Amino acid sequence: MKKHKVTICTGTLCHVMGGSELPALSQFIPPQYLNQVEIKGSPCINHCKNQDMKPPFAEIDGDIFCEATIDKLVKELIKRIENDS
Amino acid sequence: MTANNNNATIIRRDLLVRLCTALLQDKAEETDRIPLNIKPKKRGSVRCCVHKDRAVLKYKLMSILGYKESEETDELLPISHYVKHARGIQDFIIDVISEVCSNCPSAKYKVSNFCMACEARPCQVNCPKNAISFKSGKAEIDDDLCVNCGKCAKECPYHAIQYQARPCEESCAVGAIYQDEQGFEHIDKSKCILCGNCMQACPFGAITPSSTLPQIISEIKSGNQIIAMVAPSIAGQFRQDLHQIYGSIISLGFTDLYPVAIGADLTAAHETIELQEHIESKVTSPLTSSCCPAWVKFVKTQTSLDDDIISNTPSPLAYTAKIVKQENPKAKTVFIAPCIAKKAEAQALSDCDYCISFEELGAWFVASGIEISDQMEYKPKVTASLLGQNFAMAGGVSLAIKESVENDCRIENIHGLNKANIRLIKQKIKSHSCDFMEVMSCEEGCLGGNLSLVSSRESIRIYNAKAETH
Ligand code: FES
Repeated sequence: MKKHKVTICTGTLCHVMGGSELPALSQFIPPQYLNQVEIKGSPCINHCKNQDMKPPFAEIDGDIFCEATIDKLVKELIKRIENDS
Repeated sequence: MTANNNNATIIRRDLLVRLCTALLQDKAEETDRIPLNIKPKKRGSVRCCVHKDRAVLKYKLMSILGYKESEETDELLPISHYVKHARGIQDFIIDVISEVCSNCPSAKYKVSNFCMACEARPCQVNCPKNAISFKSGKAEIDDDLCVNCGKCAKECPYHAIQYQARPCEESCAVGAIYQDEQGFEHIDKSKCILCGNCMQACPFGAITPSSTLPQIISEIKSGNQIIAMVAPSIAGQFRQDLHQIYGSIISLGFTDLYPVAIGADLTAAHETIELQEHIESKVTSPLTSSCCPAWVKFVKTQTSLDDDIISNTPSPLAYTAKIVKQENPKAKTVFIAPCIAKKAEAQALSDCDYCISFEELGAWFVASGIEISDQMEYKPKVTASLLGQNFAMAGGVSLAIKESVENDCRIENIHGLNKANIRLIKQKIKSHSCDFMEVMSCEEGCLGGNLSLVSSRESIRIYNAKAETH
């Protein structure tokens, strides 16, 4: 089964600027979809160097999400998983 | 609105980061651009226009730097002027910035135009005060009669009656925040216990605590010996290992670091002795903990509570600061703290020179470009017991005392100084239903401190995950 890869930035800047709750993401994904998602945390993923985007950052399948919230990420994941089938 | 994830909090942090960056680079003039950089013309505005948004940012920065807006005698003085003459914490750490306060209308029930003026009119029928009439065709509430019971809102089948809140006043459990004739909020300093609820509740961020970061950074730049004293709850603030967090703090330029948990061990030992004496003396009220300054201030402002119920034991900070000053008489001391009340406590202690919150620490890390996971570990010379470390949690003080007290005694802990808990506490004290009571103003104790970077739920998770691996 295809897995959607989520990288949550756990870098200090993202952590301070609103991203501190994001690592709890898996608790908010509908249980039936959990096996189609792979979540990992990573130190600074370098998007914070870009002044045009606001932290906190996350990536889903390589696409960047700025001002990330649990809600935003969950919605996006569900959309991607439902598109697969 | 959660305390952590909202734009008012993020803007406060953004201001701290930008201010810190300018201070570290010795570029005070750069701070004049902060409002323009945060609120560029193209992004639209939250208030009436982008210029008001920018003015608000200036007043927030002034508040961080220890200036009230009323002290702005010359409006042309730029932010950099206040940065160069940063005053740190003045007589009071928090106040309402009138220019930022949005004059929220008074809290009351209001009828919206969803009202259908129906035949049933359950709002009118069920109103215990006869406050509802239909003179104008739709329901109308007579504010003089209305007692805000909310029955009408519950009964209306169209959900046409809404409660319009005034968040700061609602959050204050001690009635310390009030509106003047012009509609601006003020904090009554004789009643305020520095619980920080209003700061977290205000959706406009009108309450912005002052900071001593400029002074601390300049001490470091002058090469002075400066020692960090870190509250145990820091362990719940960052995911990395405690020693790596300490290492990151050292990287900021501190010459040494002491965990305040060493003071907590002393507090626990002393408080246990005090409790034993208290029980033996057969006093008819419980002894309560002294380490939460908001609780101490609460008792002192309440005429119905006797000051004697607070233990005389010095707080973990007081003990730690004393040790640090004894061992390093020339050093300046900086307490790294979870909340506003602790900032006030530090301000009043002669052994403690400065205090910053976890939030200010986080902003400082960001401004210095410190990635915690890349930093070296730092092991302090003195270490505390696990019980001392656990003062971070709600119930931590009780736990430490339970371990060492000899007498059989009844211990309780209550965290979150809201209206319901205040009633509960008063009742427990009156009925003497326990011998010792730990009271923490913040929910979840210091792990839920009001100047945290992390929600209390997440900070408990982080804290417990570390405890398991140790
Ligand atoms: S800290 Fe998150 S992208 Fe740099």
